[in-house]
Amino acid sequence: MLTRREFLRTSTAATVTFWLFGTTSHGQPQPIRIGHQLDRTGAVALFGKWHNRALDAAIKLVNEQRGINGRPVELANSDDAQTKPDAGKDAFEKLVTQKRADFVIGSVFSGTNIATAPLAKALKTVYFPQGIATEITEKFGNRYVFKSYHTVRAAIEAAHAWVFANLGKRFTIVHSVIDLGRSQAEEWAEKIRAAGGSVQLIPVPFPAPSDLFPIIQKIDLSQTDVLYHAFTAVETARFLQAALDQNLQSRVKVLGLIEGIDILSTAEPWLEGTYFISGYPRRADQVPEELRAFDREYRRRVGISAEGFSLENPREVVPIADLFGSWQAVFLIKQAAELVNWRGKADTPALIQALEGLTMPAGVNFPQGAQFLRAQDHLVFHDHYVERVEGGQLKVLVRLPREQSLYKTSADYTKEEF
Amino acid sequence: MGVRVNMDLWLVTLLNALVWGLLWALLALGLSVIYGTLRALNLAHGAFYMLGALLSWALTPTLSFWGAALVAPAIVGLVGVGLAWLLWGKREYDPLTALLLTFGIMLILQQLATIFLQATTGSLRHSVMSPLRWPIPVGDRFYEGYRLVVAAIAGVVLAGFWGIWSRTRWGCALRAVRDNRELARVVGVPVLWAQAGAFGVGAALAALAGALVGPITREVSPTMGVEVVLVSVLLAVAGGLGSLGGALAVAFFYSFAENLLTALADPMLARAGALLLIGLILLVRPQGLGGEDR
Amino acid sequence: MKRWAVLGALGGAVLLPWLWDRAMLWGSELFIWGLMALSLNLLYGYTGLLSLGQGVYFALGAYGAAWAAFYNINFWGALGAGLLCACVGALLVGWVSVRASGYGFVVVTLVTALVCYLLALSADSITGGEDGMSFRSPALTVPGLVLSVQDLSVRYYLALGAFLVGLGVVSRVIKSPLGLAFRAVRDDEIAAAFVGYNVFAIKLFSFVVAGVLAGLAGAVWAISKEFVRAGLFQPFGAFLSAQPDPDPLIAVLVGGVGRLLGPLVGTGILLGLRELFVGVWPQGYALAMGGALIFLALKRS
Repeated sequence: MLTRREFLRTSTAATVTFWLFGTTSHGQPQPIRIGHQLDRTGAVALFGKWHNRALDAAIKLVNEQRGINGRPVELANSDDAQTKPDAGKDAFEKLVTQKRADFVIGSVFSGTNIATAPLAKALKTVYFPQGIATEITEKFGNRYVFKSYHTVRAAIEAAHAWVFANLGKRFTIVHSVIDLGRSQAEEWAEKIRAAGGSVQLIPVPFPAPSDLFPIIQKIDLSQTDVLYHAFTAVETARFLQAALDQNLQSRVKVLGLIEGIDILSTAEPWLEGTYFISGYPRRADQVPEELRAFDREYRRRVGISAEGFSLENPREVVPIADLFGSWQAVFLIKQAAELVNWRGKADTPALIQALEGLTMPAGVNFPQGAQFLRAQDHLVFHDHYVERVEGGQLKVLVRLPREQSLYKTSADYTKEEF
Repeated sequence: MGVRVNMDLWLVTLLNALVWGLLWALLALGLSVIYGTLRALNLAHGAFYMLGALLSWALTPTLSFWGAALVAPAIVGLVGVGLAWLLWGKREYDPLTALLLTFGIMLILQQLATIFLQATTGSLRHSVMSPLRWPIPVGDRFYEGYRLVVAAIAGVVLAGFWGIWSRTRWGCALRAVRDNRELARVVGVPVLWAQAGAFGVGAALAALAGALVGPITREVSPTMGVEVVLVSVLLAVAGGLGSLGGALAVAFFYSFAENLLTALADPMLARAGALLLIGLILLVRPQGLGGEDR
Repeated sequence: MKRWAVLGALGGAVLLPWLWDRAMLWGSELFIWGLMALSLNLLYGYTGLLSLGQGVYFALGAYGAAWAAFYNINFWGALGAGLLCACVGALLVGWVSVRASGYGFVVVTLVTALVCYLLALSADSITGGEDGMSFRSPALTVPGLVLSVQDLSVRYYLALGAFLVGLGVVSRVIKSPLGLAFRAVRDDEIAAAFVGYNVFAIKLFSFVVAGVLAGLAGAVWAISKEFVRAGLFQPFGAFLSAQPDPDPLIAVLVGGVGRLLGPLVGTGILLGLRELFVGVWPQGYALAMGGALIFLALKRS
């Protein structure tokens, strides 16, 4: 005859046992949750949407590969981060505390990444920001923050030698004052001066003024070989259109990072003849031959055509040079988690140590090519390309290997506590 | 191009200041007229500007740019008349009520535009093509001829409006309602139509500015009215609410300040500097340049 | 009866975090924006001064605290710095603006807010522009405890505490002879002057107190979020954002002008509405607000 006390004790023990071992009453393993700090509105909304799709596709692939340590993976979307750092921070917090995300892939907006980084550490959740301002891995990073694709400084380190030799050393840099723009301006200025070139900086308020004509007027063509622009995608279009009014594209070499035009079609007159530094070619036939098979599979799964458009909507440009950061982040998690047999948040420090110094082989998990993650600043180093718009299409001019993007970092997160 | 301030740079800067001065004048004037007759600070002014731009963009394929630029302000003007007739009638509201009304109108118009645009085109930002490509060489720079055409149109409209305001019966009616509403009513001025008309005209002026500005700013979006309303209110107030000459003067002042400061100094400083100058005007003369002494 | 209701509500507010985790995030917003609405209510509901620029003092409070924290000043120092900035700002602007009456006053406050916002955007080396500035908040040290702002419940109690302080101040002032003076000025300025009130001083005092309370809300907000941006100065945030913070003016109008707890109720309603719309139909919130504004406006006349 079971007394009430015995019954209570046994049933409690049973419940606790089930809970401890993380199995549901069906005996299925508890899913691992990857959260996405998603901007649905604001300047980076289109990027947010595509990063979300890439994450969704990556997670589907992971689940086909038996998940992580045999456990299925699911995607958890945050509230709208609104391209606003404080909203993004709140979204991150809710993701971790309410939706129980084990890892979070960050927003594309650098300001949001910088504001969220300290919170990632406080909440002991590994965070993969997708913005590219250098400060994310220098001044403002920490042990829980990992950059799954380049920062501005890496791109500039990779490309500057080629640019100085082939395009020129006298720069005029017109840049937005947000982190993204400032980061590029400062990094380039340092490199230019070190190489004995000259640089004129023209800062532009954010949001950019309605009329960019007066700003274009400040460019001194007699002192300029390279006109470098650093704006968000939408503003880049307006700037280059204004530049075309003055025929600048034919008078100087116009250069920028691909992130500036990642969602814009290149069949525009104001893009003709312009140069871009990118981490991933937009067009499949420009991808290095040894990577083409992986690239095809990657594009198919995310829904991108060989020309870089959406398979659903052939007029929509997909920011493919950006996306692989999110895609790879998922596989970084998988690779590290399986190395240390990660089971829960308590194992995260071990996972972090596994990530530090990790090398990744080329494959459909890492379609960009073989890469490595530097331990000190938690930054992934990969190949870069310099591309040019010719006949309305992006053509790769040169491939710059990942070693060339290595720079000296002042950060050393490995010395930080968890 | 030399960044040393030389003749070319001066000339294009002044030209640009003139063009924008006229555009701001259209906006500030519209606001001033609405305030004059309805005693309402029209926070929805930016929404009318935005609607003018969006409608013009949407109608361009069917009507050609110039046709659209003519029709869009007319439509927005009618919307303005309708709104005023519906929400104001013959009444004049106290400041808070009027503010709430126009704030509400702004929110609704902006959201409707967002919803409609998202649903029909899937994107909230659209490029605007210039109807003509006429680069006028100024030294070794180019100034877009389209802007001069805009200036000409704005100038004609402003002059025309001034003519109507000061010389026609309808303009007289508006001034009567502005100066002494009670008396105007007693004398037989149709206050309802004067008000509704004023609101419609103000809206139309804002919409015209929006329609013309598309090829200059090169894009339209539902939120393009927000920054515009902030500055227009500032300009209308600094010019003296209800004073047309004041509105004009301050609009030019602001535009010249901004353009010159950008050329001579930082673009960052230019915005701040131009604002401070307007703020200074208000500090020195709180009722605005052309405003009545309180 | 009323006293028990008040105590019950207070008890509920204090115990809330234990009841529901999510309530803490929601609650912090309720009390910070409720405090903002409270400050506006003091100015408008009780003194009859409609200010559209309270956001400026919120932002000053936020930036004051942010800069203090940036330079490693302790918790109370940072709070104080925020309050000081807001106070000075309110004093300066109030001095100039309360002279104007009626529409003039409204316009001046709006213009100040606009100029401050546009300046803040331009002076981005100080304010961080739209990107804003992140910083580490100092921990609140109370004998025996170190309370860090990373803890959600700390943020909740901070907001609650600030609101209660504001409530205390406002209720005190209203019940005092000064409160009577406020209402006298609101109801009939000329009569009040005739009876011997120094209308200018009364208005200025109300303006400054409201400004300081708004600054308190801002300072607490900044310390909680460890972040400030130039957009805080912007009047009418509702124009741009898909998910705006509860607008103090609408909150006051909805909750009941000139009633002590009206602002809190109004803020609660707006927050509730926002939650309702957010997942389902984001644009609906702005439409609903627009409609509510028009309805409220027409109802007044």
